[in-house]
Amino acid sequence: MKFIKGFIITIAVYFGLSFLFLALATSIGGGDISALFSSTSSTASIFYTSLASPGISTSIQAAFGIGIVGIDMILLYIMLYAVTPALAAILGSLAERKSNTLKHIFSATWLGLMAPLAIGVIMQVAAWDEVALFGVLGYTRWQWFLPGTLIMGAIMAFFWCSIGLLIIRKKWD
Amino acid sequence: MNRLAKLVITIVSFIVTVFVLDIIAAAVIADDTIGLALVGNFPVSGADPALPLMDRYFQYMGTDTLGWLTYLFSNGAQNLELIGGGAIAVGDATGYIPILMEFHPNSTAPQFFMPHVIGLTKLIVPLIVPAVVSGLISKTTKQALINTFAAFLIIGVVASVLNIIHVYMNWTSLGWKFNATLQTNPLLVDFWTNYAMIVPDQTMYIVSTTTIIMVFSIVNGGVMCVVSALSSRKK
Repeated sequence: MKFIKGFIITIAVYFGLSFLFLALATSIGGGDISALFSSTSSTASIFYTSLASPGISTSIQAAFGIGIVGIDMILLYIMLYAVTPALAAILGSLAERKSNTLKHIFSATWLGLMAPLAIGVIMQVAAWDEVALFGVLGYTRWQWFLPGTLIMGAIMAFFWCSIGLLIIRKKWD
Repeated sequence: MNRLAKLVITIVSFIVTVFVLDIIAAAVIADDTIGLALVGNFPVSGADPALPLMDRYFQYMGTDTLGWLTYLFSNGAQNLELIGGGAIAVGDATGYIPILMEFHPNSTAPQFFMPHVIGLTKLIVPLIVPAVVSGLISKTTKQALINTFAAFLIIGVVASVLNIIHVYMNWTSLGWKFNATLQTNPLLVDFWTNYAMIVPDQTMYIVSTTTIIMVFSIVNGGVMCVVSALSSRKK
């Protein structure tokens, strides 16, 4: 039960904020929010894009962009979207803070990020024919996309969950 | 062993790893064009463009020793995101894993494989080795965590200070003096392009590069803390 709390909160925050920031950026850019769910492929991308993308680089570039051109709402949402997995891992870690050891907190948040990623990746592979050339993460074949995105997501989740652990201070064992 | 000694050992293991990997990379890459473009950005002013990486590296070390030291410590602020995405690209594939998968030894363009294996090794190993060393020499997991994080923080601070001195000493000089440091994190290239080439404002350039070096040193330190905790296997 203790593990479940952090796990669920991580998933909820990750998916909720991913969708929120993406919808806001789409809306401000003049796009149609319903288009985010228009196909299996675009729905799947909500699940995995922010976790399997270089979030730190994107957020730093967007932050400096804001510093140069002033407050730009699209840049702000891009920055927030990029660090969504970090926010999810931090909130998931905080939810488990008083109830578990560091090792279990890490497992709960890491699996909490990996679960939606895995769902998104499977959906994307199932709908691979919808996209002629999958350019977002650079994969041209689903045989590369499947392991590549899972490995990248696992590494990025490791990053973000480590940051979550730095915020709470507990014994490792 | 006291705390200071452990810290020094961890930092020295980082420096030795970077240097040894540079030599291995230079031996493997030699004068390969793709390899030189990826991990061999050590040009010496007026040097032969086809000069093998080993010669380039030692000429750079001798000509711009401060720049070489800045590069060495900047390796602590490498961008691990390049593993799966980011600025490294070949064709449609971005990031080391997609590139290695697309351009494997039996693919239509195997010449990209080995340089990217070297690039990936140079990216990961200098961060992993100090973390494992720190885990092994620490008596407790807590000590390992603190030691690793402190080591990466110090490496980041030293890189930032050296970078500031190097920029102020060479700002009006040729751009090649900054190339080696720029290859440690592609984000630094963005700010070189924006501030150094378009807006020649060295203070803004230093603010942006110091921010990047410190952010990535802290993030790498945080991630490697977990690696050192896993390698320590102690209470």
